[in-house]
Amino acid sequence: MTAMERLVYYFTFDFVRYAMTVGVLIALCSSLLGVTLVLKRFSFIGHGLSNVAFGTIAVATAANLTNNFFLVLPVTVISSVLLLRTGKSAKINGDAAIAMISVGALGIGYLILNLFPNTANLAGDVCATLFGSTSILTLTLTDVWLCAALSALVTAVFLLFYHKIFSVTFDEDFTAATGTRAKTYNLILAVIIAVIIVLAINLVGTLLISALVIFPALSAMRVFKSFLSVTVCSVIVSVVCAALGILISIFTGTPVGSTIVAAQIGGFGIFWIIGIITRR
Amino acid sequence: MPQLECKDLILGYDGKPVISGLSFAVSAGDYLCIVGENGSGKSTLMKAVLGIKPPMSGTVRAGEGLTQNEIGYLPQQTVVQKDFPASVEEVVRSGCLNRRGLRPFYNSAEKQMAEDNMERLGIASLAKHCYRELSGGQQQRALLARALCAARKLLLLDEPVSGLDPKAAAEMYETISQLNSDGTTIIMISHDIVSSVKHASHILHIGSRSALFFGTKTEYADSDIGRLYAGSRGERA
Amino acid sequence: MASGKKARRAQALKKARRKKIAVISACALVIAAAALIIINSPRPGNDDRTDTAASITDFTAMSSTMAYAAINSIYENPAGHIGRTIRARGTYHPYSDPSMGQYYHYITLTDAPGCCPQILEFKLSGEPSRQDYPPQNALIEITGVFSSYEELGHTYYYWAVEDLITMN
Repeated sequence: MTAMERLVYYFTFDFVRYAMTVGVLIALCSSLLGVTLVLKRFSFIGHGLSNVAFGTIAVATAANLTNNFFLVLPVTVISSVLLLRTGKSAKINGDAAIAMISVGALGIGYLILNLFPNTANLAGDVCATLFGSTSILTLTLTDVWLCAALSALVTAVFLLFYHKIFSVTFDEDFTAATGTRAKTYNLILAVIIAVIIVLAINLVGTLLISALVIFPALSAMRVFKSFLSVTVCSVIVSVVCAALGILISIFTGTPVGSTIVAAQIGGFGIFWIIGIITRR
Repeated sequence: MPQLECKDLILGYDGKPVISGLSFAVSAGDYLCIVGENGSGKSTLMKAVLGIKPPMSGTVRAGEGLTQNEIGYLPQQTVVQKDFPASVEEVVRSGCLNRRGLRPFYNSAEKQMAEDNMERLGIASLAKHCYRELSGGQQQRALLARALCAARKLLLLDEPVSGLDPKAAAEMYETISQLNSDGTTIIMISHDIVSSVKHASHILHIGSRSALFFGTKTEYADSDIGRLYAGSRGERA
Repeated sequence: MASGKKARRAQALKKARRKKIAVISACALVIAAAALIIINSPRPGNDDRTDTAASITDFTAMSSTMAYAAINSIYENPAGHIGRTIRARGTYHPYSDPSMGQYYHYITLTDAPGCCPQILEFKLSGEPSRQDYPPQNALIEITGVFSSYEELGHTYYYWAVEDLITMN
């Protein structure tokens, strides 16, 4: 079987098609918000939120909830709103507080899972949640529809509020001073970021979500100079790396999440070199 | 009926007041310069007026139907702006946001206004350039163009000529005076007392604890403090 | 001077309009593509009959990630996969249940990170004796058909194995 034939054969499996669809959608949404997040110096808050999500998943598993989504999403949204409420990057004290919450959620989460084990293979499930080894390949059609609906919502909100998001990211003081409700848009951003993080846990696991958000934006910023071109490039890079990562992982048997991150690092390297060359 | 009125303001940070008992009023068409030493709270005052950072006590009242979205603001540069990927055009157009309401995209009239303001400040040729690649003076002009797009009745400027060479600074003062003649109320924070006295109609001089002076510039030139600061530079008193 | 400006303005407007059209068509294409992919996803319980019961899903020729996911999708909807033939490799271990008075036979496949092994139950077809089964922990390769049996009121799924090869 040639590689091409094998690829076609793999695509006859429904879970492969679901994985590609969801992977591309999640990569799209997370890269859209990634530009804003990176520029507002909020990358570490994204990491903290994903750890809070892990803690919530642990609690949901211990409580034997069949679908943890309906607990994880509200908790993550609330945490996101609380953390990002001020809009501006947290000062030194806030930084330590976020680190505490982040690490605390991770530690307590794992502790709870050990105290109330509800699954046969605890280590495996923790590994899968943290690193997203296989969750993307075990989706049901309902999962796909849910993800598609949320992605459509996120993209629509981003498009509708694009200029306001730009202004709030570039200069929040100016935006508020001239009468645009910066606080409301910060709130909307916080909610969207939480939704994306919860979706992205399926793709790359909680520990690696930050990569999905920051690498495409950083790659695009090496080369492009306007906010619009950076956003568009970031989306393209993210989608390509995610698709590539999923395909490579299916072919070679490597874990999906880490492979996607590796592809993104490769992409970043390429853009970095391009940036150096074009700047001459 | 003043356009903006501040009564008994107490401003400070971290619970410590820096100025107290500050009262002044600005009428439409005025050109007010706020001067004073570093750390005397000038920027804090401006932020209080704009509602960015509320005062510790006292009132800021807008009159004459002045609404928040008719105000333009030129802040001091913030750190994140220096490596931000944004074209000059995107930055200037974002000044039009306060007219959009909930509508998502700029219409051609707003894009035209942005271009006009860029031409007025001599940066129209830089429209597609990256903001972070501009010189300090060019960045300042881009931010001023943005403020102009936002300002319909009132323009607040925080140290607009800092970092500009003398020629660019003079041009900036010219542009601002022109705007004032066209009817825009100006409130400007400045380190340069001499130029302030030259261009402004009113002066607010803030000292280490309280307002040292508020009034027209002719009154200022005649006052003790005016003579001390403006007169000591050797300019015509 | 004024007419030059007007001409430039008109040109800029045209360019802007063309850009808008390009962006909108690109978005429409993307949405259409996504819709096609989703529509092509088959309804549950009736999936990929492109490999019919006659052909074999060969896990030994696939990456372990793929094998893991495929097996997972089989066991998520077992009733829809009855009759499916697979080939798989793993270690063999029996389990004896004194209360039922019989042996059960399992093959353990391993997944890439080693964290999520999958254990499948199988039975040799025909009337096998204990000797027909390999020694414990032997590395074996089976070709089997997905089937089910009833025991104590529950439905259990297993692989009816025609062909068992003991490696090494």
